[in-house]
Amino acid sequence: MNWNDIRQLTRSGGPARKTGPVLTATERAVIVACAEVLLPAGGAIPVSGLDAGVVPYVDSMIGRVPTSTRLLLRAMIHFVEFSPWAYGPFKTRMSKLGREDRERVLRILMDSRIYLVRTAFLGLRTVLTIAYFGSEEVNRSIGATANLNPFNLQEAAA
Amino acid sequence: MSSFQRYPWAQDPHQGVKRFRDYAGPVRDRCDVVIVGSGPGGAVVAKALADAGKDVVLVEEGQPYGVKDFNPDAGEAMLRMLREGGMRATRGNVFVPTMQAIALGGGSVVNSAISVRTPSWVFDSWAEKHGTHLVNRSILDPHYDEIERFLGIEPTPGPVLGERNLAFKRGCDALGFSSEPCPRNAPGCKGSAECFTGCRNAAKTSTDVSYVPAAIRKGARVYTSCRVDKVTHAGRRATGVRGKTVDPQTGADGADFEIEARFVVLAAGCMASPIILQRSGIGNENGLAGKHLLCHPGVAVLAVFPGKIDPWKGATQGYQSLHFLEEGLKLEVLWSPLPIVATRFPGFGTEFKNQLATFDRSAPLDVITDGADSEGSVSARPFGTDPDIQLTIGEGDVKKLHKGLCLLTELSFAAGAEAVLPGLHGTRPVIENLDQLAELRNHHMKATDPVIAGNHMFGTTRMGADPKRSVVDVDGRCHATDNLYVADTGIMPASPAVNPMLTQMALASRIGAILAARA
Repeated sequence: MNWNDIRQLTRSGGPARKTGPVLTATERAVIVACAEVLLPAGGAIPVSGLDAGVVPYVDSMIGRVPTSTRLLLRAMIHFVEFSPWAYGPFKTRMSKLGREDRERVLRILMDSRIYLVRTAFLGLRTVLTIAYFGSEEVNRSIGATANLNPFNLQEAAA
Repeated sequence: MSSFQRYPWAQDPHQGVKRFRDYAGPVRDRCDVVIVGSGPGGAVVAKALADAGKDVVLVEEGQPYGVKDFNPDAGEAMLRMLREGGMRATRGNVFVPTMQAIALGGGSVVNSAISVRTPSWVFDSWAEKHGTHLVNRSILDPHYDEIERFLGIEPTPGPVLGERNLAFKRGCDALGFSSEPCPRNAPGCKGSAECFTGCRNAAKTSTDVSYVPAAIRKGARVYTSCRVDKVTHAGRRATGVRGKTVDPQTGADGADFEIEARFVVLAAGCMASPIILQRSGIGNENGLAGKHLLCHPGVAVLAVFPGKIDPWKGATQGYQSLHFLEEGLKLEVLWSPLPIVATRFPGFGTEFKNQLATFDRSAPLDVITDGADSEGSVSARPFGTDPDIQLTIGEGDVKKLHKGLCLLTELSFAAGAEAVLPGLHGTRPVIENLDQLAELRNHHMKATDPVIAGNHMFGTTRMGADPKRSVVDVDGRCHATDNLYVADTGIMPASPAVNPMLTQMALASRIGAILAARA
């Protein structure tokens, strides 16, 4: 947890956004570890999450949200990092696990009977999916390029 | 489009709007009426008063966004135009994601433009329970008429529906459900499906390009990037508002900001207005501001068809069914930015990515309930400026959502879907036939099983005849403060049954007319 964030939170003013990287090395490692499993290369969309730039995207996103939201997102990342201790078959941090073991742990989170655990997984997957679709290549792969006039309507009279 | 002369299309609709860069230091002004919030409530009041020759100041915490500022990337749009980066959620028995815009024009910039009149039986119900007899269809219809004319509201035209909307219609037709194209304030719609990230076709008549410029033309002054923290007062009379300018790039506080006014109208949204009242020590004498938060809880399914749907083509939410409205259910076509819809596909890894390959054959559909059994509250967090939102989704609404989910699944198959993804924990992730639909019907759904979205928040400054049970009277005036009004969805005492924007505008128009006669 970043103490600057907590100090920021106690100020009377509103949310202060940050520019540049905000994730710690550990937080970055968790995002990388999860992105490798959640959004691997191959399949219907060839580009991987890492190649699509999800890590810098998530970093920027977390920097730009208000302090209180940033704290929650960071808490989510740290929850996932330590989740193998509580919910996994291994007593090791997520970022230290091999790929197959990470997959096992994330599947346990996804299918958990505990609502809070499932919600943390869903939150993580949502943030990574938003970042993944920040890539033009991903959008192109599913045929969803932006089109302002998809039905070729004539311009309305000015 | 040329028949809707809200502003000269060739000109900048935000001409005259004051921005953060215009503030060299503390900002002070004086006027007849200060209005807080430029969304569907505040902007309508501002125009009504400016038209009546009143000296009006409109204050908005967000900044103006033009066509060139809109970015179809979901993350970027959420970070810029939604509070808390679009990641706001309620706490309670479930986390309910809910969104509030922060922009000149408020929610009208990022909503899907659905503009539906509330049925008369809803107003009858409000009157019976809350004594709001002066608010009914015969009183509001002239306001509805005027707003619809001004904004160019019309049923979504056939040429821009696209397969996503047509599939919904097909399903409704097959099952005998009544359905119709959604009336929307998007007279220039080309079906680009970008409502939620801001219309780059400038087709939507959001209030920042309609009511706000119209008010400016009549002399209103508009200050953006100004956050109101308190209503100032002398005894039991409001004397204006006070707050800070806010740097739109960093979110950091700037200089002091104060407007003196003879009348104050809060239209900052049902999350912010009650918090302003709570902080102000006026207008909340009975302590009810922020209580009775209501919403339209909603869930969605993803229908996968054998043929192309290209869901990213066609009006964002172009078709609806009011068939079950009196049972508290409204069925709609849904669209939101791609990654938000993508989260409905189950699984992860290659399995998830292969599911995404069916995206071009998929149509998201949603159901909203009247939220009659759900309630919460809004209060200020100990730190920062965002609200603490508590909401409990009631068992009755969970049952309605379950029924709605089953109806949408049935509708999808009737429309020709080969599979439906209900997004429900504890059931099959993919439903492929009617036998499996029967399993879904028999599933005992809990509030924590689906992802429930909190659409259309309202009720936190509710109107009513009894000062002990309501915050404002039927004219939107705080019971114990003669010159302090509220004109956002907070004043709705119960569900409007349909999407609330148009009814909120009609209520605001009526409040504007009343205030014009007084101010």
